[in-house]
Amino acid sequence: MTTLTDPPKASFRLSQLIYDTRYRSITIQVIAMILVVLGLYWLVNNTIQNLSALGKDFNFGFLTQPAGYDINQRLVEYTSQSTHMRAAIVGILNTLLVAFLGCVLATVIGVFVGVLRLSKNWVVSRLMAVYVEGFRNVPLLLWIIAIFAIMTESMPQPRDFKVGGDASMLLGDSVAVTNRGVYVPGIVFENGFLGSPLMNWLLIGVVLIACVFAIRLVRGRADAVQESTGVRPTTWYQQLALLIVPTGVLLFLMGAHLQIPYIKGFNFTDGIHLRNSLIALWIALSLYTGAFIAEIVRSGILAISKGQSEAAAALGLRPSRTMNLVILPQAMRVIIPPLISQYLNLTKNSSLAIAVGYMDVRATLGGITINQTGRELEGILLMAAFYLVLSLTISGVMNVYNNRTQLQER
Amino acid sequence: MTDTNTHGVGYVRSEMLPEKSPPVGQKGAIKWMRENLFSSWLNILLTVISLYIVYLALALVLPWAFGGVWNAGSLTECREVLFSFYKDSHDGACWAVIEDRWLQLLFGFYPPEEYWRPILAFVLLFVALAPILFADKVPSQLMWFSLSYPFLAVWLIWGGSFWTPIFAALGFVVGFVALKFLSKVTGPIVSNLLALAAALLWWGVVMTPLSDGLHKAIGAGRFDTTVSTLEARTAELPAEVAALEAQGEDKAADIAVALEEKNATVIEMAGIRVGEFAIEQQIEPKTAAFEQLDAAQESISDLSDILAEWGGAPTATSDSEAAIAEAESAASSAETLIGNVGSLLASALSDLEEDTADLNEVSEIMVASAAQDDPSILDDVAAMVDKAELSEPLTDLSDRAAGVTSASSLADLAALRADIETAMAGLSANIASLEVIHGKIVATNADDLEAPQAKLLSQMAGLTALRNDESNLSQAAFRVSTEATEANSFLGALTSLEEREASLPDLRETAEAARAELPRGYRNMINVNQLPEDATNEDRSALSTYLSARNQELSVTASVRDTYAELGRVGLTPVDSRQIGGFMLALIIGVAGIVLSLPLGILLALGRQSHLFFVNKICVAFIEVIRGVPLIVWLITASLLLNYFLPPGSNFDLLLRVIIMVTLFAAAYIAEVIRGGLAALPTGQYEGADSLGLSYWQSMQLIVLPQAMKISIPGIVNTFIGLFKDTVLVVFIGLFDPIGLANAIRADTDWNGIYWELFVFIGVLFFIFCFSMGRYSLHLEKKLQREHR
Repeated sequence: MTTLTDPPKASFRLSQLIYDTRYRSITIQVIAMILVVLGLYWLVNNTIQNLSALGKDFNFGFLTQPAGYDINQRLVEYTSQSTHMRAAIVGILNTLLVAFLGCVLATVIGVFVGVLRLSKNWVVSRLMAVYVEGFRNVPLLLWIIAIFAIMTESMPQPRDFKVGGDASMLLGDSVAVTNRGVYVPGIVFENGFLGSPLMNWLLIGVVLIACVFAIRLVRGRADAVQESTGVRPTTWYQQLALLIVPTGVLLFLMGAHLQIPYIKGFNFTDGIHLRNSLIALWIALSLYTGAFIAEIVRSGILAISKGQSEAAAALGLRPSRTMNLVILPQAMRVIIPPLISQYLNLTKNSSLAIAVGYMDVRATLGGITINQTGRELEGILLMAAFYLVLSLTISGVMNVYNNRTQLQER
Repeated sequence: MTDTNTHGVGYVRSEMLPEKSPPVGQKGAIKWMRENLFSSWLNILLTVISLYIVYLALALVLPWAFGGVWNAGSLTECREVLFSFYKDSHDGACWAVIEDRWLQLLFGFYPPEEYWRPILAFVLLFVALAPILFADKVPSQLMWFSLSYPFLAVWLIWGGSFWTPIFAALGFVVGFVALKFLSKVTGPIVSNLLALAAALLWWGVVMTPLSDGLHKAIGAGRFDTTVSTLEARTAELPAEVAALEAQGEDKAADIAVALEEKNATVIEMAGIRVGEFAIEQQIEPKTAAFEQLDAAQESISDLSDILAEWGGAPTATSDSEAAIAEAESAASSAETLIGNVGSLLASALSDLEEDTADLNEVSEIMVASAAQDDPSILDDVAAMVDKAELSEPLTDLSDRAAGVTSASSLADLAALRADIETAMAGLSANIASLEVIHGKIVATNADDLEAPQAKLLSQMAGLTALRNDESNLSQAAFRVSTEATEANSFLGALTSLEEREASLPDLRETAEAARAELPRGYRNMINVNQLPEDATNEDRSALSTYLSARNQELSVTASVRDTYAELGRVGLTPVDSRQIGGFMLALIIGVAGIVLSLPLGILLALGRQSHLFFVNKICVAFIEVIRGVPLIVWLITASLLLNYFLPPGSNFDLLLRVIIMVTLFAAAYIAEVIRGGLAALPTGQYEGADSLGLSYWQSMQLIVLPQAMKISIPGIVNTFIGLFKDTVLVVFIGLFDPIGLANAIRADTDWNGIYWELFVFIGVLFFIFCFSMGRYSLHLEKKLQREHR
């Protein structure tokens, strides 16, 4: 009988780093790390050398210098004496403005077209298919330029709106579509509580959000009552009142009224002037993204299997309740993630503003500021950081949503 | 039982009745329409609205597109032709711009005599794609052609010696052979790294000297013959240029004659239509005056409304501020209206009196021209009223309007308004009679115009042909004269070649010596700026001496190298990236991006799914950063910043930089699409592969990726379509893509003001490519569909 001996001691040999799967992953990662660090070092080192060869340094001091250029489209106070930082903020706000407007309109168009494309009506569904294919297969830039050309070439001049001219205003003489842009009525506050109009709007926004929370509170209480007693109290008038009354009172106290544009001399005054650049960018972005959203909506609705609606019908649900309680909640789970990524695309595509001279962040910070100060590296880094933060924020929100609505697999 | 019928039961039919056709409303097109188009009120409404939209769009586009002008030298000529056919410039397209510039829109500034190269590359692209797109229908040996196609296409488009692409491809062969050999000797990691190093070694160290050596060897052998041919060529080229220029001048003279003929036709047509123009000159000011009068009577009506409301001139009813303000605003709008009435009447009067031509002249013109065909026109003209008859009442009205104040009585105002309306009625009757005459004249002229119209069209066609000849000639002349200058400078380079080569060692020595004199810390500097603040003046001057010596050495080396490359070239004429443009540029960037981004995207997706912490995080960071920033920012980075990130002094092709950026961008998107496919795969597939004992790469290659790719096809193709469309963004960094060329064409005085024709052309081209890509992906999806639904 031989006595059992200990198995030979597993001494670590160098070759295990390559052949042993336990250690190999470490080796691969270390090599990858080294390569990446070397690559980054190479890039940074090159940049330092090149910068010093050009006699430049790397600092963001230029942001506090006066910009010295005008921005025709602005949401906050800005003059040519303001700083580059201020100019960048004006540009960021303009980007956000056109992105917001575009997302709203694109969603409306997309849902409308997506539903109509599923219609049994042959003419309607073909027409929608033509729209979708036409916009999806032609570069967005071409659409932006084309719509800009329509606005500047085919619309009447402001002076045609004078008494005895050819053109007339729309919607009860309140909206004028001219070749210099669209003039719409603006809301002005005669005695706003806060200094600038923007702050007043913010105040209204805050009140609105508070109202929405109050409505949720009311609904929550109604739910609780229903849970305990089985009878749901009627709350719609409370909700409606909460939605309308506080905002209405606030607007009244501020002396808000409409200011309708009118022609004075050869141009319009008062009201809000939406420049052609904004209109063209907005419409083109909306139509283009709307075509993609239409496809998302269509596939979202098609993705719900027929069994779901049949089962709902078997339970005795009415068609409208089937839609609300069965189809839509499931379709939304399919629709929302790609929809948000379309919103992201729209926001990024708004940088095509360059084609029509809309002053977005690329035109201010990434355009004129860079040209004037010669700070390409810093300017482009800041601009990229802005877009990156925006994208990451939105996709972070999307991930939270995805995790909450995900079907649990094993 | 079987013989029941033979016994004959009276009420049972023995034979089948013939089938009756269904009611008219329940079959064929009508049934289809009832079910699909008119099933409910909403549906009917939708159908009608859609049909109306379709009608509007077609009514707008079809006459414009099909009534367009194909032969013209400029937008002005287009408009001339359209006008001669009673068309506005909005009513007919000026396709002549496409006829004139389509080659440029397709190829950019690529040399015309080399067009066959991109065309061949384009055709071969489909041959190369065949084994990938239609793997089941094409012999698999063609895959070898697909693999070698990228090198072939690059060589065809950019030109150069034929061995350059072969050497580049050899790098892959070297890497592959090294991998095969090393994998027998060592483990996978080491062999992979070493194979990569071998390939890099080939490309970085061996390839260029080898290619230069070949150039030099061939060039040295050819030196004498090249010099003698060049000398002969330079001697005869000026004569060729002169001959071509003379021919061009002849053509220019022909064109001048043709232009005169065309202008004569245009004048002839204007002569025929002079009657129309005369009547139009009568109608236009009268219509304007009519509109002014209409506005004036509306203003009066508004004014009387205000006066009636206030019972006379607006005055405040009480002392309250509000009442006073209200009265003031009413008074001021009344004043504005009064001013409007006066000015409108005055301008109506001036329209009538100053702008309307004298009736006698008009009737003379009629007698001379149109009336010859249709005598009834003369009667109509005789019935026309003199302008005095129309303007006299207006003078009176104008005086009365001047007397209107806010104190005027309502009755006066009503009377004034009624009188204005009477004047308007007279004016409109006059305009109507003029329009009748105009219609008659147009009708009679239409026949007369037919012959000149046809003549004008044929003249325009002839003119276009002549112009094409002339531009071909001038292009040829330009080419030959460029050849002459190039031959001369090449000859100069050849004669100085020996001398330059001989000077190289000296230059190198000088640079080395200057370098040796520098303090050690400064030897790697590339610019005097880099010296620290406290550097001595001696050091500064020493550094600048060294830098200039070094630059001279480098430039002479490069020039010698270039001369040999030109001398020893066996292959195609090189074409510069700057000359590539138009749709070809979009295709090059698009195809290169697609081909390169797919493998990179797969690697990134695998990295993002990987369990290796660092690899995973690196891939995530790369993908998110690239996707988070718009492509346009990356392109600007490529054009402005890339030079910062590369070793000092290196500067490479903008087009190449763009391709790299576009590839990285598309790869990040494709990685996300494929990650979706990988995530959608049931976990059982991964586990199954593991349980079979497959290695990571084997399981990916054999089990996971084929399925994941199948799921991701629509997403991948959508990314490709997006990438292809995004190629137009390069216009913003100064490359001439189709949109950039369209801008350039519009900047030309001939075509200034053209929009839609160019947009339509470019849009249709993009649509064809993107739409067929989308259709192919649908086809592929169906073909790979294994589920049975």
